[in-house]
Amino acid sequence: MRKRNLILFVALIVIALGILIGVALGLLRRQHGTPFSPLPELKIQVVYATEEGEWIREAAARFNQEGHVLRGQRIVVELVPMDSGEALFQIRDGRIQPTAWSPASMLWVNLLNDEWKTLHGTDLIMRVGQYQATPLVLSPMVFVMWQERADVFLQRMGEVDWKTIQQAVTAEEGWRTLGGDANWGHVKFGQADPLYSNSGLVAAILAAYDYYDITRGLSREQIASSTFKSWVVPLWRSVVGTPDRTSEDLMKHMILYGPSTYDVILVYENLVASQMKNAPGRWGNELRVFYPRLNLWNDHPYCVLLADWSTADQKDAALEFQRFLLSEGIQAQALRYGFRPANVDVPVINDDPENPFNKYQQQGLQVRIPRINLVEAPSAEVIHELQWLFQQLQP
Amino acid sequence: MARRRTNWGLVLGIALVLLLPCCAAGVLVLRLAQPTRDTAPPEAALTITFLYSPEKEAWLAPLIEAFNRERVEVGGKPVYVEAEAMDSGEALEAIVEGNRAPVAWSPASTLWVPLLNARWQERTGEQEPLAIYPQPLVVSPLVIAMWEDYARAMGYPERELGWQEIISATLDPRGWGAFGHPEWGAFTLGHTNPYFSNSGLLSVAAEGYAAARKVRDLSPEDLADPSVQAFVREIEQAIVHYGESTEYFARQMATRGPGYASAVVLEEQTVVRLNAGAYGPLPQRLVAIYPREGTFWSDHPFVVLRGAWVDAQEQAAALLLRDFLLSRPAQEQALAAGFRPAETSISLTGSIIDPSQGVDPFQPRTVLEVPSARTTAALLETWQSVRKRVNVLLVVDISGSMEGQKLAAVQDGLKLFLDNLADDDSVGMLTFNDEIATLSPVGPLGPKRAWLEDEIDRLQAGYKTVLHDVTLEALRQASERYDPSRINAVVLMSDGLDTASRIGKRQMLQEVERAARSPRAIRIFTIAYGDDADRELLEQIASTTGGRMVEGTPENIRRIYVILSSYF
Repeated sequence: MRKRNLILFVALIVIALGILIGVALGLLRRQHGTPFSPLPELKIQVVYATEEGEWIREAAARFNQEGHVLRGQRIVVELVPMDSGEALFQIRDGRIQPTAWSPASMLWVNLLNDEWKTLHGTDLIMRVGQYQATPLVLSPMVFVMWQERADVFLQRMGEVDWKTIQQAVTAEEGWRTLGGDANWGHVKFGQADPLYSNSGLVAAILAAYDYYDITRGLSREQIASSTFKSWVVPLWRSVVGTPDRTSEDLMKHMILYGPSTYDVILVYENLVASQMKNAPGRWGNELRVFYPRLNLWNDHPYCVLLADWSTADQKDAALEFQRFLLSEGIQAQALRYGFRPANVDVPVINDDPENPFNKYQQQGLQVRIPRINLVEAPSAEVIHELQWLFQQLQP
Repeated sequence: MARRRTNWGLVLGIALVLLLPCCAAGVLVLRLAQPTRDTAPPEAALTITFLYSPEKEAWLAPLIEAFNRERVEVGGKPVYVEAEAMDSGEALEAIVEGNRAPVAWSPASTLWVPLLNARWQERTGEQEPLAIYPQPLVVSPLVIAMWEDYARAMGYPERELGWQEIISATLDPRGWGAFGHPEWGAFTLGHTNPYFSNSGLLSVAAEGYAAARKVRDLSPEDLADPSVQAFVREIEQAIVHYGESTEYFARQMATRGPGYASAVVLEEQTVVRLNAGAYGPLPQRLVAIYPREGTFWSDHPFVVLRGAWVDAQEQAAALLLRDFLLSRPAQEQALAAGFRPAETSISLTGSIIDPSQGVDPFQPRTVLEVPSARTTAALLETWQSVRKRVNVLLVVDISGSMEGQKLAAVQDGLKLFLDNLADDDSVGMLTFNDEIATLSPVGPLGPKRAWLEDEIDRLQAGYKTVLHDVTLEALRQASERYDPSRINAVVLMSDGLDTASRIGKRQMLQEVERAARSPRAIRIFTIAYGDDADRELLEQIASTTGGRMVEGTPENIRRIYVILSSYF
């Protein structure tokens, strides 16, 4: 064969081969939506608290892209966002069967274990050992208020905390009584629904601790007392409309409806960081952040469920994903979304100008929270009593 | 001759250089092999019905088309959305009554969601809510749209105006004379029918709050108070007429100017579009009054229905549509249409939501509490008992061309129309072919309701059409019974050209124009029924008198009569 013909022949073969490979790759990608790999897949489902949002979604996409392998199988993580309360009901009732669950705080671990034990006589989530619930990222609760209104509020009330907010929402003539513009109407407080949302539940718990001025030992009797009810009910009644189901919605709605609907809300610190930049473009006003005197860390525990619906391989794959989430690179990414890394090797302050703890210092975001007292997570019966009380107020 | 050695390195190099683009070409071949994208439903499509409130039509209609072109798939089937604009109240009724079976619904406000759930529960006994996952697509506050000169006469923008000021103005017998402009006549207000439309329901809620002197905790007990009812009744006296949708009010404001109404309750978004010329040039700018006591947000929630007619794939498809509508490009288009986008990273600074368009992005500064489903039901009942009453003359064409199915459908429509009126509304009826017959003069409906329904059933078609003559006769009869405390109107239905009138077209129109300028003006709402109706003439009669022309067919005439009843 002449050399020119040989080259032509090889070129044609290569072109045909190329087209074939291209079509095959295209078909495979279409079928799987993930990069092609010859290894069998090991799928795990992780249900996460909606607040973990972008951070965990990006991490999972990267994890799947990297193609982590366990015992000859490629791990594929499927994420399902769900409010902590909703997820608890669905896992308890067997409507979802995830390999791992990351609610917004340890409170839900206790609640699910409590319910699971009643039904099955065992814990579903371990507190010690290899599969123990492990914090992924941390976020305390903060009050957020519109700057213009916070200035007036501080001048009259001195500080932004539960007792002063409760006094303000019960003021007969609303903002006029506080020395503000009469056309601002009543003082309106916002919090998420404690039945569905972790932040709503934490808000109710912190309000109760603050009322009794204690940090531990909150009892069911204290919640049921008429004096507490008469104090807390006006606070909850000042929430305009149906309370949001998630803290994320609440924070968004504060920007969407502005000070017309929310003067002050209690949400996760990380959510403020994500929405802070949007406030001036909507309402020509900044947001201010205040840390309550009593607080509770939302530690977003990652829990591998010890359920018989997942195999030993799936449980170990879930642990592999946990290790990935706690790695320094992924933990540093969490900072961008306003979370504090659970991995202590990753500092909260760095040189990144986009780090919200650098960017929003002026608006009150603080690395070292002053005067913080952490409260004890209350028992399941206290939580149920608070949820029941809140529910009674809904139309 | 020595054979030259083959350069295998070169061959391999060429091969590698060719391989990459060829792989890409392969992927491209595959993409090009995908079906062409057009707006018709693809074969074996997963078709879902989506109902939405009409204010969103300009924004949503092109987006739905774009979504359908995307051909996103659920369970291997391309999703196709059949969308229809329908007033919130009407959609609610259609869903509850089983006349429509949408997978997703976007009413103008969340207020309608618990109402739907409550009605559904009442009808089916099911405890689980029918509408789930409410999520705002766009938001817009409810405002009082007022002509700028008129607002300035009331002290705008220095003086903050609210429901109380507007209500006082409507109740003042001096009308605009109280503000130095007696030539502007009475203070007239427009809001939609609360049974049909969101802004009407929210307007009535605001009146209830103002009457009870509250901004929250409005209860059915407050609304039962006679002094509250008397207050709301007086406000409703200033109403020009009601209507099924704000779109109609917007068109009337644009074409008729301040002579139509001094102020109309609308969404901020409609004010923006009016000032931007979307409904034609305005005689002067409109400004949005954000009531100082507070207002309501129309939050245009997207809800998925979980009725027996919706399966999991359809629910998933609806959620994909929702995500598409919440995507940044779709949300940017919402802002261009005058809405405030639900996507909070889109800034309003430098946008169409600007004082130059008569609106203020930093308003409202407070809100009224959205009433509970129980209070809302009480509000509707209160409004029904105190709303402005109507003197309406129904004019029905029974010429030969109406025979058969056409007349039967009109008979049903007329009875539905009567169903929506109260016993103390006044109704009359004229029929015409080549003769005009007064079936019943305008008078209280209660005592003659059953008799009139029987008479409607007995109608028979035949002979020619005296459209010109009957128009003037209807005006004469309605003027004789004119009552300034009521909405005075004629509803004229005709299916053909005039064939036998004594009066010519020009003379008739001159008479109609003269009557429209009189202080005892009667609005004529016309229905052009079927293909042969004289649309042009009926449109002229309606627009001259401040009424509305609608086109009817035997298929939709029942709904047309129901819609027209919303004006009264």
